[in-house]
Amino acid sequence: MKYLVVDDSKMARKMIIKNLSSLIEESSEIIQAQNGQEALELYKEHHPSICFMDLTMPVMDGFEAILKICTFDKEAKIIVISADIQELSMQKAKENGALGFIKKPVSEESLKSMLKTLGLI
Amino acid sequence: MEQEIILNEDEKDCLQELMNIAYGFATASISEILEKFATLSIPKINTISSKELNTYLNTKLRTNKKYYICNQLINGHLSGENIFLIDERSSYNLAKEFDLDENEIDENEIKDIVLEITNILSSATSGKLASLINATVSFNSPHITKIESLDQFDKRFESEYAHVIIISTELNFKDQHIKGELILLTREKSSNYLKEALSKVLEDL
Repeated sequence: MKYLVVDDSKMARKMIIKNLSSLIEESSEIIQAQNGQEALELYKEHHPSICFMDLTMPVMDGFEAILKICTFDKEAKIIVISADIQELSMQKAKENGALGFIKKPVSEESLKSMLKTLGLI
Repeated sequence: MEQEIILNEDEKDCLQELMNIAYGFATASISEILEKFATLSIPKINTISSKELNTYLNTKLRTNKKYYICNQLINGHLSGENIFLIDERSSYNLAKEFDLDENEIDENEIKDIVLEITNILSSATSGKLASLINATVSFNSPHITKIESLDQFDKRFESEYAHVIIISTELNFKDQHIKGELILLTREKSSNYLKEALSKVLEDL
């Protein structure tokens, strides 16, 4: 399976990958993008099973990227991992097509719980 | 001669991400109080020497505007000072968000509201940052002054903060025309503590 991790911070991507690694098969492939535009391009190229998306990013933010990915693929599974924890942001991300929202800092527990809730593991 | 503290690219990225989380937490608190949606900007990390502080602020303060400068002392592992800069117009708009009639809004009301917002923003940001790196902090009451030019900016900031890490973020309520900036000034020992803490976070990844 392929996973797409999108965040402008290298540290944030590392943190997500570290926590995700113990929950997925060793043979899984994790692709990384630094902004929404890159994410959209990589999504179209790789068709990942699940995409983990930050919201506040340069070039193209997560809200727009979610909308564009979900327009491209109506079955896209996108989970937001963000520090923007305002109710309206969570609501907007979901309206744009995200399935779930995890507040930063991400932990193995929060990832596991979300993936289980969505029936993705 | 004092020099700026050097953070490598990974440490800067790490601090930026931690500040992003801390500021997101603080903004959500303010947003909840005002019942207004705030646009989060990506925090900018700047390490400068104390002598460059004035130049930095010069780029931030517009000459034809009056500003409220609200500062709050921080004690503990991240000892230093948080400064919240907000222009007069934004302060007025902020006061209006608290359901005050126009004739009720005077300078004292505005100062009171800016003080309260600074208190929440500053303590939520620094408190959250501290919790993310297992540090402890406490806060003094914030103070507010109104300035009409950079010359009126307290020169004490330059002399007290030898190593300066400026973490600048904007509080931007898009439709309300409220724009402010939070600057965190850290003392030398706190800068070193922060650098070590960042290295540890990176090592653990």
